[in-house]
Amino acid sequence: MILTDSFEADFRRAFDERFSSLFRYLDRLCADPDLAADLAQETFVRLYNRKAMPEDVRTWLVAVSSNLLRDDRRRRSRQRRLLLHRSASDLMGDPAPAPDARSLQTEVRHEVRAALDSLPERDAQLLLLREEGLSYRELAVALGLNEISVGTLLARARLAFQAAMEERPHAP
Amino acid sequence: MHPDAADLWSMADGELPPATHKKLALHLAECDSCRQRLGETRVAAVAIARALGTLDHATPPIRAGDVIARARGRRRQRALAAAAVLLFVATGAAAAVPNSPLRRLVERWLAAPPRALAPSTMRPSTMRPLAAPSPSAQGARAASGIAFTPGGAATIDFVEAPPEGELRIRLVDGADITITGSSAGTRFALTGQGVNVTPGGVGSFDLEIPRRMHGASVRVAGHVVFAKAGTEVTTEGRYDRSGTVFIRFNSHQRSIP
Repeated sequence: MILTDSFEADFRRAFDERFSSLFRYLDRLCADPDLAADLAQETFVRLYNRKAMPEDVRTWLVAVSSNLLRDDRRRRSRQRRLLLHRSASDLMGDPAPAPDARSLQTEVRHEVRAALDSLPERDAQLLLLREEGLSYRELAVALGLNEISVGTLLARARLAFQAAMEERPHAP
Repeated sequence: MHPDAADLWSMADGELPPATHKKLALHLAECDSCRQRLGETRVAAVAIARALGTLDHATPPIRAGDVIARARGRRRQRALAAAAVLLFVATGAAAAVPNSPLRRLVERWLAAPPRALAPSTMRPSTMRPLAAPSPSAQGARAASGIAFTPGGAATIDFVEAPPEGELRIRLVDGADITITGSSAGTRFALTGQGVNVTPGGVGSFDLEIPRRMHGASVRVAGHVVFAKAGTEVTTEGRYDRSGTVFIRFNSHQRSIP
């Protein structure tokens, strides 16, 4: 099948408009820039192979990339069970440096990461996707929520994140 | 009645329905306390955005053209796989027709006496020690390597792990398993199932495995660190953007009981 020039142009436009936002969302969510880059790229590969643009590109990208992330986590979990028979410290690699050896910037990032990780996955997704500019309706579609409840859930996620940040001395 | 936090956040987001927005705006015009709360909500929104910004890394330099090339490559693979399945089915159907030439060929083949299996699926004659690159290309330590053509499955066994360094594994389109390393004096020994690698000292290795192999496993000091079964790859290593798997050697050495 030969793809139309129109689809190719739409795809390129969608990529230019959405790739960095999708990467940023995934990077913040999974704390692994290499994985985030792979997932964002794979999401766009699937969009291209779909051969037609979805009605709402942004929510489609979020839904597909979230599924890919979930699959990746499941696969990694299975690999650990299959391959590794070592202690937790071996799995984690070198121990983290002592707090006084880290720069303040690293310390801040570490604390923001910890605050975000303390939220349930859906709350973190709501928080991060809203930061990427998704409307309440788009959040509802992308995460499979009732649109009426998005405002309440999002406010709860923000308050929980603020509370988690306030527990940490270096948080901005 | 004062608005709750969710209403204030929705107002700050510009997401209140028009009727609710109008009602809340009227309330805010008369309520200093709620106006202050709305201000605090807006300040909190900025603080959250700033905090999340500290987590960011630079966007990778991937372009639409890169993704399109990758997508087209995958389509070609799928088309080839579909063609192979079609050929297989068509051949099977042709062989099922009584008295067809293909059927007679299959019957002759089935009637032939069994031949002894070769002791190895490997072809040792294809084993080729690789020349050491020039010192300017690889540093002062001489490199060593090997390339050989495996059967459908093979085990690459690093008998021991160097004290430091890493193993980089890539799937390639060629037919050869290729192992190159920066550790001089490394010994390679073909076995019936694959190859044993005894590193000569500190160093990293690059291992290329043909994508077409239906089975491959890589062991380091007795631990399976990479396994390929069909198109599925299982590894504890870390992928980079090009698909190379990175496995640090020292973690395995620490883990030897």
